Amino acid sequence: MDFYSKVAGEALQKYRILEEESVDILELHKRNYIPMPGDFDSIEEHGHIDEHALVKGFEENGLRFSAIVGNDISKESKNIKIRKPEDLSEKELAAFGLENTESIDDKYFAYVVSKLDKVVLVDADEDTQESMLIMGSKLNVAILANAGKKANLRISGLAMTTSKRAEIGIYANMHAEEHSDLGIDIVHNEGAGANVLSFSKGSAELGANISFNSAYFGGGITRSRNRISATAPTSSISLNDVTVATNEQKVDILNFIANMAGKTKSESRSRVIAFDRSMCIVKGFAKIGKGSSESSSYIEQKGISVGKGAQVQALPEMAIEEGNVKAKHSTSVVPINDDELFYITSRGVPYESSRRLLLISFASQLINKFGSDFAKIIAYSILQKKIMGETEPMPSANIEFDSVLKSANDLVME
Amino acid sequence: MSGMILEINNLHVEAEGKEIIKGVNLTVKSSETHVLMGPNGSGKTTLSNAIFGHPKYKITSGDILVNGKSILQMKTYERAKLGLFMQFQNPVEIEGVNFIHFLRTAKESMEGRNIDFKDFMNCIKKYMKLLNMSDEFINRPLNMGFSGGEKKKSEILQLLLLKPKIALLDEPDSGLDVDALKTVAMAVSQAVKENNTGLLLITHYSRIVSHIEPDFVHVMVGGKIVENGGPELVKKVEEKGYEAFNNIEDEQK
Repeated sequence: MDFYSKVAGEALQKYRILEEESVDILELHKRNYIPMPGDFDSIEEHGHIDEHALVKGFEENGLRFSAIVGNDISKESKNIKIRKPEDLSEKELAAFGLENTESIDDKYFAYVVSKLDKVVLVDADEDTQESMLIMGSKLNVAILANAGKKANLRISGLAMTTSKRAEIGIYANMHAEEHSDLGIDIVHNEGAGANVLSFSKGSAELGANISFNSAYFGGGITRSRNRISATAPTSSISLNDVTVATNEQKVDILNFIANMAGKTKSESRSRVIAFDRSMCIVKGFAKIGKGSSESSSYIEQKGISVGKGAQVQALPEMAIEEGNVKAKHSTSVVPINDDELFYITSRGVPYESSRRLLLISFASQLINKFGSDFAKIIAYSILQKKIMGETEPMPSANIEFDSVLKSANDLVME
Repeated sequence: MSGMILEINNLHVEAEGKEIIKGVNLTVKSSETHVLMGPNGSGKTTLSNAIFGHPKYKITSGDILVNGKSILQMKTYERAKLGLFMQFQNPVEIEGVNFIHFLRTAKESMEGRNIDFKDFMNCIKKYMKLLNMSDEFINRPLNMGFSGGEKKKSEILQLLLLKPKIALLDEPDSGLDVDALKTVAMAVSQAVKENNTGLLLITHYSRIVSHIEPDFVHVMVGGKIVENGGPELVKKVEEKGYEAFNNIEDEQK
């Protein structure tokens, strides 16, 4: 697939400049992070998912994925090819920054790309929708996606792990060619013992759009690092993430958006609901680079802490190196608003239902920005379940299929 | 529908350690229209919030009874389910909660059953038409970006939908132009007529009273009801202002 060579040019070079320049600026973020536990590779025992049974369960309930990536299963589609990393050429590896993992200063990212189990290649030159199931108990996957000129490529993914000790690493590398639209939505429904590592990089060329949307449900410790750049004039990028954390769960998210050319638009939005004794750190960093006049950048971070032991830290930061730009950030971390609760209960809605309505609505606002209905429905369904059963221990990697379908019907109806 | 009697007996209410309501007595029955007038800061809105059990307001003595039973230990939603309704002066804007979804949740909760979506929407559209509300409200977040007049109409739409036995209307007339005031007043009158709803209508001004004729008028100054009467009291307020009632309060002290 020769499209990899397209990426290796100017866009990749801009990435590297971005990474080198950002080291000092990100010092603050380096001081506010949640460490991951030890060396994953030394973990000997992982849980087990019966992948075939899981897929069968989905299919019996009407949920079909166009591609499946698991430890045991690989199912390809017309636009999705699944390969082993050793099958990629040096040129291909270089195109996605995978050629020399020792030089990567983020050791967790280096770990994921050095331990890749599967490489998912997605390439489209037209309107394309793909839905992907990513599951396993110890699985590192790279999704290398390219939207050709004027293409509209939308990939939705559900990532699942076992409730016992598990590890899932996903690296999404996105490249949107001129005037294309590329979006990836990944919903994580992870087991309580899972270490979740999520990385994304992306570059949007002339007039192109990239959106990377994530929902994080479950997991023991989640670490997410996203770096998306509007590299050419009139391109736009957006990152949206929704997190619901319970029990002792820890979540550490860093979104880095960059305007690297004139008349570009970048947005990063995060919503966090933290229950119990969970801890969430959400960092948003925006850079408007030189030569990016008439561009706009926006960071929004909103959190609700439910319960005395829950912690949410929101850290926005912006670096503006160009005049004639618009830059804005909005941050708030609050408990559930008493006046809002009073208003809803005054209409006869019981306290718990009112509280749930507020929490579900809060998170749904970003889920509604997901590009694919498939991801929206799944994320909304899991969200409802999490909020309804918030005091229960994190369930294993399962979805109430009926609930998914019912939610789908409700959404269509409303 | 069976009637309701709301009794407020010697009610004292504090907010942030300061006594705001200082011994209010009032009885409102279904199908009666009471107007409660008073200057800013006299405690009218506090009274309304206290009746609904707002957590920021502490009842230090006295009682609130519905059909002879105290509701002080009841939760806010339980008071609503009895058939009480509160129209908010400044309803809170709630991002992310869809207006129609909220109305449906409230209606289903009040009736304790699922409601057919099509029937529900037909009902909502009928009320929206009555209130001259545009269809675009259907997809908007609850009270978000609503103008002052739109918020009032949204509240009155909920009054029509939820069909309470007694409604507390907190300044439904403020911020409305002449036409909107007429529309809102007409909708309130319809709700009263259809459901025998009793009203406790809180206002500064007399202009809404020209559209909704009260059975009883009460003037509240300094946390107390200082004078009770009929529609003639509205005229007295108009002519003499609330200054005239300050003396009564002083005499009562």
